[in-house]
Amino acid sequence: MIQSQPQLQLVEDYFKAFYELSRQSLKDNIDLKMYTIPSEDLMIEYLDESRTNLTLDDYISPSIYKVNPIKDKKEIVAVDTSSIRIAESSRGVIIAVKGAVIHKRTNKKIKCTVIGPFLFYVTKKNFRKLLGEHYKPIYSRDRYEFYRYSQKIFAEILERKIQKYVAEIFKNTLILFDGSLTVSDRVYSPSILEEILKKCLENGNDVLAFSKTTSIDLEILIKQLNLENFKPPYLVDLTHVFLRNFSGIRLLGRVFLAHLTNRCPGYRVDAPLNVSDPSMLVGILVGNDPLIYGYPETLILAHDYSTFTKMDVITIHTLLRKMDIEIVSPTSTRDLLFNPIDGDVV
Amino acid sequence: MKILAKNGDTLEILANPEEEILERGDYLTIEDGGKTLLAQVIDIEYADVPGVLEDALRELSSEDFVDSSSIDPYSLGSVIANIRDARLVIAKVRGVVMNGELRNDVLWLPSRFRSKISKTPPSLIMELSKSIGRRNILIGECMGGWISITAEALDGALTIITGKKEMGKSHLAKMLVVNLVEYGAKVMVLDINGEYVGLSRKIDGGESEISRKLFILTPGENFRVSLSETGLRTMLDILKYVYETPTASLREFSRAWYIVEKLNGKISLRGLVEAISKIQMNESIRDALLSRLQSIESLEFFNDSGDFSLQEFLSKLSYGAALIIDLSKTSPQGRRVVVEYLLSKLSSMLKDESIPPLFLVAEEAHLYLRETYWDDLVTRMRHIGVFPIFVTNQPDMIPDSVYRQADNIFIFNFTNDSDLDYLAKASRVDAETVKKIVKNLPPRRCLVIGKVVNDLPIVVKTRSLPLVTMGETKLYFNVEKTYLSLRD
Ligand SMILES: Nc1ncnc2c1ncn2[C@@H]1O[C@H](COP(=O)(O)OP(=O)(O)OP(=O)(O)O)[C@@H](O)[C@H]1O
Ligand SMILES: [Mg+2]
Repeated sequence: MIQSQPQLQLVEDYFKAFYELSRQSLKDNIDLKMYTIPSEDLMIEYLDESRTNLTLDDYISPSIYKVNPIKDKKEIVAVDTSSIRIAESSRGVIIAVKGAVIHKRTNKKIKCTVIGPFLFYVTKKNFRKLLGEHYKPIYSRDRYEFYRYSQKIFAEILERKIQKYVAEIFKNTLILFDGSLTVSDRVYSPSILEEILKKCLENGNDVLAFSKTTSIDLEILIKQLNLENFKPPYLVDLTHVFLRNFSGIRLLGRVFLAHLTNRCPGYRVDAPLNVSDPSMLVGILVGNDPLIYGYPETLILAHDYSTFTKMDVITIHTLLRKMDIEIVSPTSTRDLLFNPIDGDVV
Repeated sequence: MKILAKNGDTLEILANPEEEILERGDYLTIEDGGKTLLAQVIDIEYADVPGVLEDALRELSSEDFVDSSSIDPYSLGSVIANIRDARLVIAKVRGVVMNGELRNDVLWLPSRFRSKISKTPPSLIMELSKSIGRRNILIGECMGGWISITAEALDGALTIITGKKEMGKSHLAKMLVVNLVEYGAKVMVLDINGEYVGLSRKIDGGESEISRKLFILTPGENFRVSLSETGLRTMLDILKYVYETPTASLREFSRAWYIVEKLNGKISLRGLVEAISKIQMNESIRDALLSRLQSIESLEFFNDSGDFSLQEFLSKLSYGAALIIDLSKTSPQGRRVVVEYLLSKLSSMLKDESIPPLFLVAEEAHLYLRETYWDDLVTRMRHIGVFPIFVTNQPDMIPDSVYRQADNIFIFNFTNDSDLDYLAKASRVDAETVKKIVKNLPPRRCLVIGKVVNDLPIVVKTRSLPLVTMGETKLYFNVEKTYLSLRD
């Protein structure tokens, strides 16, 4: 089936409401003087969990699947998002989120669609209103933690929106997500991921989720599982190990260690539960998308195009200045702003 | 535009690429609180915007195969493009405008944040660059406005026109000649390429307005002089400087000269040759003098029977005239002889005020002007009334002392660094201005420095002339007719 490229207008319509929300938030009694975030604080945070330390169960030996590159042509779609805090004051924070969809056709032509950036002015006051049905009370020790949390939430909202969008719009492709197919109560609306996976299934799209930051300690694992004799590419099914190690999470897929190229680290790769032969899926990926440091090229591009550059930040500052918001670099004022411990629930 | 920094008299100004297009040489007015600073753009660079390298690398690595589009709700893309393309304008402070006058003794710096920077309106450039006088010479355009200099600013001055070949030096010189003549001045042109003859013709072939005021003298043809008109002093100079005759020989030549005068009552080349062959003198000196006289004779510039008198000729010239000495057909040695003759004549005539002062346009003067004349021309002769306009594509052939005394310099493009270095050292504006601006001048544009522009260096796009400004040998006969009609 020939996959026609989704029209840009369609994409735009899809994100209209999100943009409207963004615009509304910027009108929300915004502080006219805000501070830039010191660069050491500018950690761009992804949706992934932090580093995972797994303890292997001695009694269960995980299944290992050999991956054979499959040259059958398949379109690949990769999604990634990123977020950044642009400016903050004692009242609120301005967050920017941006995503990218990379679509690689079977003729290897690549189409990239950047979505965003969307800007949000978030305060403890408007937080609930902005999140609407997705709102969940959170506890934060101080404003700073609240701001970081807000950043995470809005990044996740956009990420899920884009994932849902590609699940609906594309047909018979292999879709690559950044992150995992795990949901926990901490994140907003776990049911959305379920919906996304359902849509994928309906549209004949396969899904693989690659984790950038969950690096499984390969060396230990290789030793424990006697993997020395295995030549990449291969998959190790770690689903049970994960289930045993984490209680508060729900897996919407199976968890694998994917070791795809020699001398490159392994990554955590999640595949939906309905996938009967995950090694075939990875084989199709390897056959259609070159690996760069063991990581699919389309996902790397999605990451590159969604990441905020210095220039993006300068530009957003320019835009805010045009909205009469004074953006100043913090000096010691920052301490004044955040030192008081004002932990409370919003 | 925003001021970024100031180092000495150099301003660094950040500019948006979408703002008005600036060229080197353009002026900027920086206004703040009712005061105005004037600065001249000498260079434009890319601003060192953080993150540009990172972005460029990312794009470069994927531009061949990725076709990208974006949903950009806040239209940041266009802003980014602008910021990434921000320009750094390097400008030299020329002064503070006060009461319509440019003052560089006033110390004032506009605010970096409040000041408004814009292209200087041409009317202000015109006003500030206006030199005294009312005899306007429209030379071209600057920043979209006309630029006129005045004949008065050239009067009594030393002017240099320099630049690479084919850039329009002679064109400008011709423009000055035509205008000076129209204002009644007398101009002598040492025309090494025989190209000023065309000024008598309009482009459409018709006679130009100044054709009647244009006189062409071609040495050996309609310009031949007698030895008595030339005089002993000049002949000695010719022998000494052009023919490198030793002093002992010059003494014998003078002796022969007096003998001939006494015996024949009139000096002649023939008579001199005869006398030197006969009178008693050292044989080697005799041989040396005879061979030199032979060579002088072969130039056919000296004519025993001729009655041409430069003085008579010059005094006959009415209000406004150009005397073109067409040296294009004369040998290198012949040129030097003719120029020795002309300069020594002019010098003595001006000293006893038998002729009015005149402008002397000298193209590639180093080819025929002896070294000792440079200083003489710019000091002594200028005082008695020779106002030189030197035109050259070899700036280093003009001694730097001459540059230092120059009142006006028109510099066309130079790409050669050693030429630029030389000019930068010798001229009256800062070296950076000269180097940066001149190196990038397109043809027909020149940096004008000095009195003519009231010491406000400006880049002028020279205007065209409705006259034939190129040398065309075909015109020769026409022109000779003009000269003959004068003699009738
Ligand atoms: N402003 C102008 N408008 C029209 N034509 C021009 C202008 N300036 C120069 N030219 C033409 O450009 C050509 C070169 O100019 P010009 O002869 O003055 O150069 P130059 O600098 O004197 O060169 P060279 O060093 O060879 O003598 C000529 O044909 C001249 O007529
Ligand atoms: Mg010339």
